[in-house]
Formats: sequence, structure tokens, C-alpha cells
Amino acid sequence: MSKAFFGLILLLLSAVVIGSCNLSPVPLDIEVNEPPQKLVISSYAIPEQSGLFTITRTFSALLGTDSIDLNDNSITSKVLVDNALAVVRYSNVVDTLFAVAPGIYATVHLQQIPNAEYTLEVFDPKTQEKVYATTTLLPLTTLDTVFPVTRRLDQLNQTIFTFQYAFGDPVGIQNYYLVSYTNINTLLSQFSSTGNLFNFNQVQFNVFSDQNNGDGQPIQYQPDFGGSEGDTLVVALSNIPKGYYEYLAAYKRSGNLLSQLTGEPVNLPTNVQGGYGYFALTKPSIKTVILRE
Amino acid sequence: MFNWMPKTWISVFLLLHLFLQTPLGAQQFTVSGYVYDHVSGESLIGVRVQDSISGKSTITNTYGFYSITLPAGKVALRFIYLGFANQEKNLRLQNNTTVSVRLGEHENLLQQVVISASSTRAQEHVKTTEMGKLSVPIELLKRTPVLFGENDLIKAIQLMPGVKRGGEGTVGMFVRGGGSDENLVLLDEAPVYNVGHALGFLSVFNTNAIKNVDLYKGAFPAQYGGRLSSILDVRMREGNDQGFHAQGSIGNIASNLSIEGPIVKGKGSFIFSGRRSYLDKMVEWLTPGKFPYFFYDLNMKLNYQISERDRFFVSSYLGRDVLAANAVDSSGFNTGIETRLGNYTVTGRWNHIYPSQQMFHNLTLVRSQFRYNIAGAAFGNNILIRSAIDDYAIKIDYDYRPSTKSTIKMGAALTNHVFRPNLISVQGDISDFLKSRKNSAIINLEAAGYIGVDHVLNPSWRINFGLRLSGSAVEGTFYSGYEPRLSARYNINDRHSIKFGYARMTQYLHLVASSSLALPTDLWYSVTKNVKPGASDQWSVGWFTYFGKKDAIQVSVELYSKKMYNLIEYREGARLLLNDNYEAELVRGTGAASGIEFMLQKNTGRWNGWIGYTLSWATRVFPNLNGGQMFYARYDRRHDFSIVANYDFTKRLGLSFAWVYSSGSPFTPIVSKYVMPYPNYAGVDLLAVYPLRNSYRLHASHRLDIDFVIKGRKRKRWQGEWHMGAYNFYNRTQPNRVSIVVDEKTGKEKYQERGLFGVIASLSYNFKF
Repeated sequence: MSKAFFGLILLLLSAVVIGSCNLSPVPLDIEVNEPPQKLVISSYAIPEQSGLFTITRTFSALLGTDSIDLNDNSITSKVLVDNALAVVRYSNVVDTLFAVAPGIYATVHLQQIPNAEYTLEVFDPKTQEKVYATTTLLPLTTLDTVFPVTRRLDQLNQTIFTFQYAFGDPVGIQNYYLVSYTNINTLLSQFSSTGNLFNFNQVQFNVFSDQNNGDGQPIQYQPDFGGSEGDTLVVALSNIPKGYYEYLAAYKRSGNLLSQLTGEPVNLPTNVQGGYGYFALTKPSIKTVILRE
Repeated sequence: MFNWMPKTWISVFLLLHLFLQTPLGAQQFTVSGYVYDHVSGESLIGVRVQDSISGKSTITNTYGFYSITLPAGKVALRFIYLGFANQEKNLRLQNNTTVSVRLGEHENLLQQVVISASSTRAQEHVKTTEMGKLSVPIELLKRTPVLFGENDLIKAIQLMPGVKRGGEGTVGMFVRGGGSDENLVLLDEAPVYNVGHALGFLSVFNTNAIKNVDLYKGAFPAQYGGRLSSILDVRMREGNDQGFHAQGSIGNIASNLSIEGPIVKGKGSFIFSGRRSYLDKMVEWLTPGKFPYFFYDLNMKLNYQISERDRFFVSSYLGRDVLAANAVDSSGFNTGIETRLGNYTVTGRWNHIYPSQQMFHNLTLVRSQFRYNIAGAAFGNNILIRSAIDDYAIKIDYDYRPSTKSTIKMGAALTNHVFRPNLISVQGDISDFLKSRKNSAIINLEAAGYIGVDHVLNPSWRINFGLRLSGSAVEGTFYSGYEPRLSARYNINDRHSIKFGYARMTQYLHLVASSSLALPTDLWYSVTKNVKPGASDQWSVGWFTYFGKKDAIQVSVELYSKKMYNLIEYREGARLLLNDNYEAELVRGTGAASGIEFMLQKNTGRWNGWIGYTLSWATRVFPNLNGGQMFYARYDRRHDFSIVANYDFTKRLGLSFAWVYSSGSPFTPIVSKYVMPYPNYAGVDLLAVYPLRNSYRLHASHRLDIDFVIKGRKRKRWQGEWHMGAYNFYNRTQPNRVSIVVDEKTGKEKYQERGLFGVIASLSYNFKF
């Protein structure tokens, strides 16, 4: 009996040894409940009296793994909200947004009043969903200087272009800042070559508070940034509310590839009641610089 | 803070005085000594030494030392140890006496001798106050089938109740709901910080160099401290003091060789043991390509007995993982990366028996070092990222046995930890982007003193109570820990007992890990001004019994409840690499764990092994994680069941198998996504929506590992055995990650769980001569 058993085991093991090189176990399917779709809001105040807004919906994680095709109607119809009723209320003004394109709304009557409170209300008649969010537009902080910095790397046989900026931090209040730097040449080449808005470059902005620098002290900063000779760089400084700062800081942190691979998942904060995204209106101070060796 | 101290100490001393009083009238003397293995000369741990006339008994400690105080006159000492022939020494006790013995293996023992030893082991299981302790004979651990066929004591321990593994095939241990950093791993009393080779898929312990392994999960004796959840006490072999021998094995991915022999026969011995992986050499030999990774470890131990009362030991361990891929590019620049990671420990010990024969001390000096270096070179640029921990420690432990009813253990330890996290050095143009940084060292001076008393109150009750006081001075801040310990046993009858335990533990360093793999981003971090020490309170109660032929089957059922404070995690979206302000990335919270563990163990006979089952819960609450809501710990698995069995068909043929079942681990999938423009509207990003942290569960996993052993004919000098086995024999997915894939049938995307390994066959040859 034991000899037969021994023989059987040995036979099985031999089969396993021979076959194991090509065996990989059958993966297991798992059900993950998809939560109901929610509205997603974003906003961008254009200097003077305009504002751009996006109103979209969350969509299944199974729909497109890394990016979505904005030309695919079956997808965009699920994602972009094309018939929303959206209004911005502030200082006894009710400003109704008009649709520019599916998912994109605008206004050309947006008065940008420092320290005023703005409330965005969005209603989607298709789903009867309603969301709202409130923000405060903070006063302008002027960007004093922006100038290009050139560094020659002999070992790499390369020239690195970056820039430096400086501004005065207003006294008496804790301020949070957003500095975005848009390389117009890179942006245009991206659109012309792929027509894709998705971009996996490091998002080019910085957020910081005056906490470390001291209230009222001048702030000077040189971010890590790559560019090429002749590139036009648009640098915009905005004084932003703390909530928006926290959203952008979390967004920037979670954008780190290593964090995404090894860290724990992060849900970005939102000020949209019943939805996602962030509603913020800022008054940017903008300067343009051309990178030259 | 220490207002309680005078009263507490007075109480402790009164109790000690009460317990330690020697009965008046009868003149008593003490017999002490060591018990060794006759063949190998190794000291034997846990040998029962019993006086057949008075019925009094004691057991040998971790150094094989015993001391028993008996009435003057005729004494018949019997030395009983499972697997060895009993030995009896008759003497007339007229003064304090030293008796050291060497026990022979039980090759042709009479049946009643085996029964006696087996019964003794079973009685210890019921009669001691120990609970939450796992002791598995090293020979049993060596037979447990594991991944790649490499004997691995941590993976064998992971199959026991109360211990959960981390990711598939890794050596991470999660004991009673604790984190992987809450286990103090001691190799000959030196802490080992990194217990894994090959990203944690193999443990650093070469089982041929290991003599004994004990894992404490709760009711910790006062001599142990420094971690919240477990103490893994690994003792290296001392080497054969009777003759020169060698043993080794040739396996799938690594081979090892140990050489041992006497320095002076019967007085001292040495053992050297080495192990190296050779996939790199195999690939180089068989293919034109290169495999850039290997690991090695070396163990060494020397011991010498200079008198009947004094013995010295020196032991050392060195282990390294090396990943090196280098080349020279067309411009003549070196390009590549080299990672070196590993531990180095040295322990020096002096065992001394005092003239009273009742007191034994062990003085220990420890040096422990952990390093990881990542060096990269490209186009004339160089970068070196380095983290290091250096420990220097001195420790004294006293073992005082004033009577057969009482054992007192007391001692003190002082450890100087120097942490150097993330030193960065750069050369070349890269310094324009990344600055060199000599991160200042964090020096943590940790001290502890303890006293623990084990006392038999009456035939029914036995208690073990103690107190450990610990403290840590770091960055001008002093933290202290008051750690009471208590365990008690109540004998229902000879075969059944109930035990209770309580222990408070304090931990003065943390490991912040980002995944189950041993990554460079896993960082040991000292307590600082801002990072507080962790603490835990654990209560447990258990039922212990034994039964069966030769009393060979031992059963225990333990319930536990544990609270953990000041636990550390990375905050959401933490920056893990090249960060000089780690404290800003850490958040603090609490943990709770509870469960019930069942263990049936049979260590003797043709069939031996164990059955373990754990039902448990482990949760965490961090105000800054998961919106402050409770979430399940990373390896919270509701049910764990394992059967590990060995069967010997004949003296030369044997089969071992392990069947393991585990409930699914929690995970956090992406449940939906949304499109969000950049703040400057110059592009858009896809952002994920997650449910509550760890709110989903992977499927349960189960697998069968087998190992078949064929022993060669026993020759005078050479003994060999072939091991042929398979991990995950029936090729079941062990889920450890979820990915989104396209269903081939429907063309739609779906979630799918995958594991790391399918069936993996192994073949190895062990030998000794």
C-alpha cells in the first residue's frame, strides 16, 4: 500500500516538475460594485469678466484604463453633461452659465470681486441630480518678476532652461498660493501631434503657503522645470483659499508615480456638495517670458 | 509620573520575600549544571530535571542551565528530554554540587522512555504559565514544505495560529493584528532589522545554523520588550564539541554549507555556516545573458567553557542582498545601478554560575547593523542613497532559582540606536536637480530594567508576574514605559489547565512600510520629539490540554484582545523617496485586534505536525486617514486554517504536506473615475474614486505544498537525503493584486485577481558527514 502510494506521489511530483514551467494559475474574477455616477465640477476664472466651467460625470473604472477617447461618442455621452442648468450666485447677482460644448460651460458676465463669496449650483435634468459649491475669490497678489535662468550641463551636453519668480506676500493674513507655468510651445505641439488633452507629464504648478516664509516676507522661488530655447512660458500667480490649496497639494502628491505604485489610495478633497471636483475662482497675476540661452 | 513607584516596589519586594522563603528545618543544597546533547555537544533547552525521591523538578533555560535546590541526603536526578534517552544520576547531597550531563539520542530507546519524555513535554504544555508561545522543534520546521524548496523558519511559523503572512511567498509576519514592524526578531539576542532576502521572499535564517526558535505572541515574560506584538527568539547552534562535521544542501536557488567541530574536545566548539543564491551564476553559465541579483549570508559561532561555572560565546551573522547591473556606454561612462542591503550582527556572551549554584547570569554585548545603499551612475553622474541603523547594546540577565517553586529572572539592558535615514550624495550635473544631503543622525538611547517571578502557589495555581521599566532618550526628549506583566495558570486536573495573561509593551522605533514587499521605501524610524513611542495592552485567556497515545497530542485554545496606541502610517499621498522630512509624511493612530486561536500539535510518531485555526479581527483608526473612519488592517483575514503533517512511510521515505486556507485580504479598488482639468486648464487628468479604505476583500486563498524526502542509506560518515516537492501543488491562484483586463469572451473590461506564483517544483539534496 505504502509503496503504491509512494509511487503515485512520485509520479505526480515528476509530472509537476516537468509541467510547472508553463503553469500559471487561472486568475479569479471579482465583482466590484460601481457607485452611482456623480457630477464633477471644475472652474477657471478668465481675467476681466469671463469664467470657464466643466460639468462632467464620474464613470466606471472599467471604462478606459489610462485615458479616454474624447472623440468616442459612446464614452463622452456618459461623461460630459450637455444640458445642465448652472448658475453662479454672488453679491445679489445670479449669473446663468451657457453651454459652449458638451461638458463645457461659460459666462462672460462674471464680476471678479475680491473677498466676495460665489456659489455654483448645477442641476442635471436628465438625472435630477443637483450639486453646489461655494468659494471665495481672494484679492490679487501681483507677480513682481519672472526671469529665465539658463544652466549648461557639460556632462550631459545639454542646456537646461528654467525660470525664477518673485512677489511680495501681503501682510497680516495667512496666504496660500498657486503658481502655474504653462509652456505654450509644449502645449501647442501636444495638441497638434495627438489631439489629446491627456498628458502624463508632471503637472506643472506649485502650491505653497507663506507659513514657512513668514507673513509679509518677499517670496522668491525657482521651480524644477525643463524647457527649450525659444519656448514661451506663461507664469500665473493666484492667491487661493486654504481648501483649494489642500485639494491641489493632495493632487500634486498623489500624482507622484512612486506614490501611485506603492502608496495607499487617496481620494482628493472636494468642496462640491454631492459631487466631486473643486469649485474655485482665482484672480491670477500673469507674466510671460521667453526662454533664451 | 512615577508616584506609583514606592508602593508598587514595596509590594513587589514583600511578595518576593514571601515567595522566596526557604522552608525552615530541613537543610538544603543546590545541584546545578548544564545539559548537553551527547553527540553534538549542543546545550539542550527545556530539559526536565526531576528528583525521583522528592518529586521536585526544574527545567533547563535557554543556555541549557538548570539549578535545583533539594533536601540534603539521597537524590536521584532524572534528565528527561523528548527524542533523547532519559538519564539518571544518583548522588548523596551534602553540599552544593555541579552535575552536567550529556544525553544520547533515542535511536533504540525502550518504549516507556519515549512515553515518559513525550508525557513530560505534554505536562509542560499544561503546567507552565506560558501562553501565546510557539515552540516548534527545528527538525519539524525543516521538514515543512515551502516556496522554492528553501527551508524557511519564518514561513513555517506563518503556518501557525495567530501569525499571518504578508504578500504571497513573503516572510512578513503579522502577529495578532500587529504590523510587520511590531515583531522583535532576535538572533542570539541581536536584533535583526531586515529578515528577508530577495525582496522578502526568503528569510535570512539559514536553518542549518539554527538550534531553537521560540515565538512569543502574548503574555510576554518580563525579560522581553521593545516591540508591541511578538518576539521571535532565534538561537544559533553552538557547533559540535565532540568531532568535526559538515552539513549542507544544494537547492533550486541557493546552497549552503556548515562546518563545525571542537576547539578543545568537550570544552568548546565552533560552527561556520554560509549560504549563497546562484541564479546569477546559472544564468551566466547557461545563457549569454546576465541575472544581476544574488544574496548570501554567513553565520559563525564560537564557544568555550573556561571552567565549570564560566562559558563564553561569540556569534555573528552577515547577510547581503546585491543587485548590480553595470555597463560602460559608448562615451566611456559607467552606467548602472547597484543596491546592497543587509544586516550584520555580533554577539558576545558570558554565562556564569554563582557559587550558590542558584544564580546564573548571562552578560551580553551586542552590535547590530542594518544598511541599504542604492548607487546609480549614468553619463558621468553618480548618486548614492543610503540608510543605516547602528545598534550597540549591553545586557545583563540573571536567572535565580531559590527553590523548586520559584524562579526569578531579572536584568537590565542599554541600547544605543543610531539611525541615519536617507543620506543622499550626488556628483556631476545631476547636482543641479538634486542636492547632496547628509541627513543628521538620530540617536536613541534605550534602556530597560525588569524583574519577573515565576512561582508555584499550590498544586492548582502558578503565577508569573513581573515588571519592565523602559525608557528612551532622543533629541532632548525622554519617553518612559511602565510595562506590567502577569500570567497565571489554574490546573483543572493533571491534563487540563486554564491560563490567563496580560502584558503591556512599548516600542521606541517604527517601520513605515508602503507595501508587503521589502522595498527601500520601507524605513525604520526612531521615536523623535514628534514621533511618539507605540504601546500595546494585550489580554489573553486559554485552555491547555493533552491526550492520546504516549500523551503525544497537545491542544490549546487561546482568546486574545489587544489595543495598540501611537501606531504610525504614511499619510495619504506621502512622498516616499528622496525626502528629508519623513516626519511630515507620517500620521498617528490606534489599532485593535482580537481573536481566537486553536492549535493541535503532535511532535512525535510516524505522523507528526499540527493543525492550526485562527478567527481574528484587526482594525485601525487614524484621524488623518480614511476620513477618520475605522478601517481593517492590511492583513486582516478573518479565517486562517492550516494543516502541516509529516508522515514517514519507512525510515528512509517520508512525505510532508501543508494545506493552508486564508480568508481574503482587504483591499481598496478604484470604483470609478472622473476627468478633471489642470488648474491652468492646459490639459486634463483622469482621477480615481476610491471607496472606504480596505472595504473590499480578495477571494480566499488555499494551496497545498508537498515535499517528498528520500533518505540515503545510513553510512558511517555520509548521510544524504533528496527532497522533491512542489509549492501550490494544485496550481490555485493566491490573490494578491487586482487588475482590470478585457474579457476575451465579451470584449468588456472586468476586474481580475492574480497571484504571483503558480505551481513551483523544487528539488534539493541535503547532506551531512
